[in-house]
Amino acid sequence: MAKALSNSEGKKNTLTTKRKKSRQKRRFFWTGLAFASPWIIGFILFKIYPICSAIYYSFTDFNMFRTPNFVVLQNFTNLVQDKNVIKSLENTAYMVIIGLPIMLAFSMLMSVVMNMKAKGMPLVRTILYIPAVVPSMASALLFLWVMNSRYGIVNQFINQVIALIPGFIKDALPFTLKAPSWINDPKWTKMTLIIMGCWGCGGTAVIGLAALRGVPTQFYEAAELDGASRWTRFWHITIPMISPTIQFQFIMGIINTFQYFTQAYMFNMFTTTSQVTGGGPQNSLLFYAINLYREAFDFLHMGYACALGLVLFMIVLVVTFIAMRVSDKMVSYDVE
Amino acid sequence: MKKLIALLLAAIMVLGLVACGPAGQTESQPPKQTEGSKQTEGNQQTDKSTEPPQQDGEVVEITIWHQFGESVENGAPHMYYTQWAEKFNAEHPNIHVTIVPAKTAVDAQTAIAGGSTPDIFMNQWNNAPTWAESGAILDLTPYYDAAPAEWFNDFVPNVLALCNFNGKYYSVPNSITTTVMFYRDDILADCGWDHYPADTDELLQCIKDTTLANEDGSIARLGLLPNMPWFDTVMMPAVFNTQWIADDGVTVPADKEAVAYMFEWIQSVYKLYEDEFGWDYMTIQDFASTVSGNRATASDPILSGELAMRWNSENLAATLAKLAPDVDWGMGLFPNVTGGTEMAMLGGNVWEINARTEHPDEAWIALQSLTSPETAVEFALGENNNGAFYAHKQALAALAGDLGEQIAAAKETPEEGARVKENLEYLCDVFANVHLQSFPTCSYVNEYIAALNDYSALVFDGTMTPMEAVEAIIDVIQPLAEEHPYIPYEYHEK
Repeated sequence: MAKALSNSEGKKNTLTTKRKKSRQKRRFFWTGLAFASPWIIGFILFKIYPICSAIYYSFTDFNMFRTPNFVVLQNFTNLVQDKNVIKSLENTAYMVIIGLPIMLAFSMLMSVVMNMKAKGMPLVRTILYIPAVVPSMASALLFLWVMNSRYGIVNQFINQVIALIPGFIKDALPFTLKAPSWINDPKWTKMTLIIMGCWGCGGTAVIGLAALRGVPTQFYEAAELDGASRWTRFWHITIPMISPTIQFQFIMGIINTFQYFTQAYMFNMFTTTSQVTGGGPQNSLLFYAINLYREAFDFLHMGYACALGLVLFMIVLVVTFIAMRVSDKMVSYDVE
Repeated sequence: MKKLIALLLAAIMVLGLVACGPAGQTESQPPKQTEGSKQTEGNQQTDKSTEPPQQDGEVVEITIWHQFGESVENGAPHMYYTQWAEKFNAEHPNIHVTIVPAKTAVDAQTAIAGGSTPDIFMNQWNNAPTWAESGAILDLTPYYDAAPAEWFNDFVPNVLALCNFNGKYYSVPNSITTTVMFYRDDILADCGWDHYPADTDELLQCIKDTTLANEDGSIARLGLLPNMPWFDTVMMPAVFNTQWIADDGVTVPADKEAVAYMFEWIQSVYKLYEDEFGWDYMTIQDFASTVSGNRATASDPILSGELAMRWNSENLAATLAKLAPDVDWGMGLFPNVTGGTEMAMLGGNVWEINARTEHPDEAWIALQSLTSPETAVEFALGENNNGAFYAHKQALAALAGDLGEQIAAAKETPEEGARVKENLEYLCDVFANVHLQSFPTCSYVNEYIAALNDYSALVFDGTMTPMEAVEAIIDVIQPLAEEHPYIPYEYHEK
């Protein structure tokens, strides 16, 4: 009897404790939620809501002003037949496949230079980082003159180098040696933007520098004792050790390059004066995001632009997924 | 608990989606009306009164956005607008207007979509048809109908075509612009030209004669760059006597051969440079991108002599007169293909009323005052006493007369003053007497301009033949033209 009583009291106590804990848990939960609510509300209003709206509008003929009509998949069927979409995808793919690796390699080179132990290195780091804080508009304007075919400093230099080459070599070449028309020749316009990107990649270089600083020095010491060359050390120690950072920069680079807009928009604005957003010489700078902007704000095809945005999201998702899967095999997280 | 949170978040999302959207307006939803006007279907108002509606002491707030900077120094546009607003507010106790500077078309677009101010805003002519069709701007036809004849008839007739879309008025003209050829008299004379070219054939010959190479074969001077600073989609059809849309309102362009010939003529200038001087298209473009960076500066290519002729909007005249009063330059219209009839392009910016304004009648009263002939005469003094061209006959007459003399007298030197006076007289004559042609105000105007820019560039660099480009443009635009037939504007004086 006494045992039964003590058992029932024990159960009662456990229940009370559980209830207390559960009440406390709930209170913690609501308090936590209250503290997190500014972010949650912002996230819903400025992320989730626009995403949901864009998905909804992509199935409509929304033009910003009128109540949208449901057009089912018409925007998506128009999209696959749109020559500008194909051209813009080609241009964007060029930037992702050719531009991004060049910019990442250059940024890595900058990180290595920044990591060197030499006199005056803080000044070098500052100089290398400065372009990263120059606004896109200012750098675009600057590069329009730097890369100007007639008076630009780059072509002045190239022309001087060409002048140094003996005439018989020039004659023997199957083509004429000539400084490129960086801004007007559709073959070179994207390369101009890539060079501009390299000039301003101080931000990514600093992240690379932080990763380089995190590589334990004992690895290098051990390799040096084993007689490893500088290149071997870099290739077999540095690269694997900073591979998570490289992967991060690569993935972020893919996402950002697919949304490439500001620099190209500025270039187009300053080189082609028109009432409508331009795409540069032969539409060589008509990137996906520029085309999307033109459809949305020049032509008021907001529903179509939303469909373009949704397709871009899918492309970025798939490409990022593949890039993650492939790069995962090359990334090493082992420090010990 | 998780379910509860999920439900709560979902509810917030759905509510947001329903509540936001395009501010809950439809194309046919009438704007809220005040007394003094009655609303009928589709934004059509009747019984328009030009008198302020009775508000029993209530002051109606009207916001006006313009695209110029906020400076009020040296006769900047914002100075004129704020001065006008002060005067208007004093005269209209029931209406208070507020002027907001530096608001672009995209700003207005976003604000309207969000259901907020402005009541009146400035826009580029090419946006008006698209916005009108989208239901963003108010149909002003009933207001135009009720407006006094002296207000309507004082507008330069062709400028009203920029404000009309499918037979209805959606905007009111503000400032106007045209394209003028600037040429160096001395260079033309040195090259044996005692007169300015009369037609496009003469122009081609003049380009050849005035082009000059350096000893190393590089460009010293070009006669003309026909598509620098841009391929003018408004001027070129005027020069080549053709239209982008046929009179049936559906066929684009009106005359395929004429458009192909227009492209061919521009291409022939590049061929001339290549055949006679060995400069390919890219070399010319490199030259163009350099000189166009110096436009309207002391190194303007017409002042530096890098171009013998160049065209630009008329506002360059004041800059050239100021920067180089000694340089011997002149102005003319781009020679027509046939010579004889002088045609030129017409563009400009316009005022529009937000379709969702709560006070359309008061907005119209303000807009009518802002675009009155008297206001235009006051504004015509322009920035830095250079004169500005507004769409009113009275303003143009003032510039060509007393006001022009006042402007000339205020210049630093008598030479500059005389030059400015001469320029103003010439340009006022162009605006008042030349047949001015604008781009058709169709709902696909921006798509058309984009297609023309894209494909014309492919002709000029030799990628496409002129006729291939015309066919490609038709492929893109014809379906839009059939979907949205264009009604050409007909001007009738009141």
